[in-house]
Amino acid sequence: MTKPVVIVDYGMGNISSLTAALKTVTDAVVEISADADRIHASQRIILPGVGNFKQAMTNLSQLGLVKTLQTAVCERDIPILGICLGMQLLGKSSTESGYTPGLDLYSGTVKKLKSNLVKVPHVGFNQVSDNGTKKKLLNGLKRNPDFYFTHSYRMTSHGSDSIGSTFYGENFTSLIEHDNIYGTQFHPELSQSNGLRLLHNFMTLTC
Amino acid sequence: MNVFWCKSCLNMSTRPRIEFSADGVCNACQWATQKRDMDWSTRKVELASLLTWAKEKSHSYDCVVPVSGGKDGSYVAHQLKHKYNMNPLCVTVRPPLSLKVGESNLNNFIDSGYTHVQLSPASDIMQRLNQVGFIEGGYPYHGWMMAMKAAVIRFAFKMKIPLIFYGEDGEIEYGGSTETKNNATYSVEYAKRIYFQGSFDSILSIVKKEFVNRLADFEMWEFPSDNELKLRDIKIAHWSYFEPWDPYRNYIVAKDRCGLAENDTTNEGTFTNFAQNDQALAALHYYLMYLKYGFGRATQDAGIEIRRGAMTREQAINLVELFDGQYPTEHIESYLNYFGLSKEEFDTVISTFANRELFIKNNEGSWQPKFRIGETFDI
Amino acid sequence: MQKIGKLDWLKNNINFFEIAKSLDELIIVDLSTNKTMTSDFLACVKDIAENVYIPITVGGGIQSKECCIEAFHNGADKILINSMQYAHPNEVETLISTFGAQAIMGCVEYNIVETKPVITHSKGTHVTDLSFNNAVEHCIELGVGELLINCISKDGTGFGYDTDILKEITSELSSPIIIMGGAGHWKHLNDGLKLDAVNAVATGNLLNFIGNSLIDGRKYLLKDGRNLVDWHQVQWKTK
Repeated sequence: MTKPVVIVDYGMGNISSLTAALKTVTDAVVEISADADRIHASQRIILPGVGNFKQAMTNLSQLGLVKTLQTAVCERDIPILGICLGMQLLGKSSTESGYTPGLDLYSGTVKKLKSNLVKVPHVGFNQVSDNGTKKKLLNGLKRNPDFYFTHSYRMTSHGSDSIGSTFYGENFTSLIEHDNIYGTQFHPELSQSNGLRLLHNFMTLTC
Repeated sequence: MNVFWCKSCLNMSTRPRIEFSADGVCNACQWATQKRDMDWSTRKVELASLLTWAKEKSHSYDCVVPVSGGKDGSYVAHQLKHKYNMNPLCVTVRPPLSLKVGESNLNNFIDSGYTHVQLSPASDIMQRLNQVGFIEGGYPYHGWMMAMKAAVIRFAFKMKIPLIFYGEDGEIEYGGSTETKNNATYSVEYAKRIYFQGSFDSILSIVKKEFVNRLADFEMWEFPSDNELKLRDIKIAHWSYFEPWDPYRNYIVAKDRCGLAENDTTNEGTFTNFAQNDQALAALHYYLMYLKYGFGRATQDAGIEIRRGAMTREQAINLVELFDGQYPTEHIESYLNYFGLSKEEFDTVISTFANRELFIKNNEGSWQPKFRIGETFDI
Repeated sequence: MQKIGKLDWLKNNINFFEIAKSLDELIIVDLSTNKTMTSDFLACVKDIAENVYIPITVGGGIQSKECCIEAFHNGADKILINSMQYAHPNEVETLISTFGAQAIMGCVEYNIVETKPVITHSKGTHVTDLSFNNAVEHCIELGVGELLINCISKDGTGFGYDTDILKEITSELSSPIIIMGGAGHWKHLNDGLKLDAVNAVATGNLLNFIGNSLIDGRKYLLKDGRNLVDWHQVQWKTK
């Protein structure tokens, strides 16, 4: 029996769309859980997120999920995909509502999008560049595919091999791929065929 | 023989009296283009002198407008009254199996400021005429259609109102005979020949024999002769001759000025909800038309939408495939009651009109088209 | 407005979820008169949200934070507000600070009366005396993420969008604009998208875009150079 894919339930995130999209691309059981055992027994973890970074970290801490996720990712090497706020949470920190440390699974930091040239929040479809290095998540997609963004804060990171970027007033990290850590600032579950392909790619990674 | 579709709309070559250009464009579409490009001023002048003539000839009401409360009659009445300062007397011939939406629309129309008369031909005779029309010719409201011409014209004749304005000349507007294209007015002879497929007198005489002591009640179905009309100088015209006919525009004006409301839900056999909401037999009539010729109400409505630029032919094909030729289930009980038939008998009558070269009966007993819309085929 | 059928009809007769593959976003509005956001309506939203993979905006009688939460729980990604901006503008601001501007879409709805726009709300039943420009400014000042401009008089006519109305807007607009009302075929969508001021075009004219109409329409738009994603280029595997 294949292991399930677990969507982390910490009270923040449009889980039903994500669940529906996942079920379209995988035969694996899709579970929604905050339980350490279920998360550790999974083949894939998805960390969704809509809302405030500080609130999210508070919820994750209260549910004991910080340690759970760190163990799952670093010790059990389970591939994790952070979506939108979920990707940001994988990083070192964010300045949203004051400085808050993140899960520190990836070396990116989160700050507000610069609003002098563009309107913030960034809402709508925009392109993701792989910066010249093939990304597993973008396998099978045309160059610079479009995805749906809706956010006010963004991650900047070093190490361009592991990142995909998007331009919105500035270049920011819209996709991360590093070892078993994956993230998208955009919402694949709201990005039509491109997003479904990406989720399919995540589910069929050969690690 | 080839069966084919207009290159511009979805009119079928099976449509009686339709004509096509060398490019395969039907006369309705050709007319639609002409309507847009032509100079209407001559016809406007004709209208002005016709109206002046009518006013001079009459004492109070100067024209009769047949209405149902629907968009077309309401529009014509509105134009005559408010644009041309005429004094129309609006006349309705009571429909069989009338619908609430229709009744309400008629009341709203009247209340929006028109003098109105309802002619109610004897309903048992009308029922019998409709029944004979249905069984013999597949025309379920033939009796009503006959009265809508005969009773209205006779009424105008008796009241000495010199001018009658029907709405559109369906032959010109939707693809049929172009005989009256350049005629402002038309004759009873034309109406009998074209609108009643020449069967007017025969159906009437069949039914008259059954109502021996009721001959007086048949007056509602007696046209004055063309001679009588000539002597009293009564003219019958189509409004569509004088002004570019636009059913959608009529709907907007009727909605805005005459209190027209649409049906809540989509009408059977089509994708619109704002036309022919006065009686329940329309869906049956259109279903029979579909079985006889291969096209139904959706095809007709699609043509109107295409010609007014609201839809492309490709979009229309989707709608016609989805909606055309729906078996009229909504009012089936009313039909069976009205015609005094069982469902089996009813379906047998309908089947007699299905064109076997166009349709085939499937295992469930329903008629399926042998053709794909838009794809020329041989019969 | 016509009732064409229940959600099942949409799914079975016109294969709506297939057509939705040619959309970028979906707006679902509850037009019931007596009560809105009923459990039946929300169940429809949920069903649709589970079968389309694009952002869904839900509206029609949204009056409170609780309404929004219900909508989000049932698959909405964004909320559309209209009458609330006039009746309870402070509440709108609360929604924006709670859920984020990106989650709230504002609507400026109007009728054309004797060639002039008259601003309405509550499904066209209430009339305001705001000028069009004032209504737009008022909506944007509340802080909404996007603005839907809906011309009710053109709705369903197939006459094309009321693009003249955009000339009424005098201020520099900071919100993306979506126009709606009057589209009958892809050429109307194209005309709308070609305008600088317009970021997106919407249509409620479901029947005109059934079958291949939308997918073909989108191809024409792409061919004519509109900045749209070609969703049909990528192969994605269903299980």
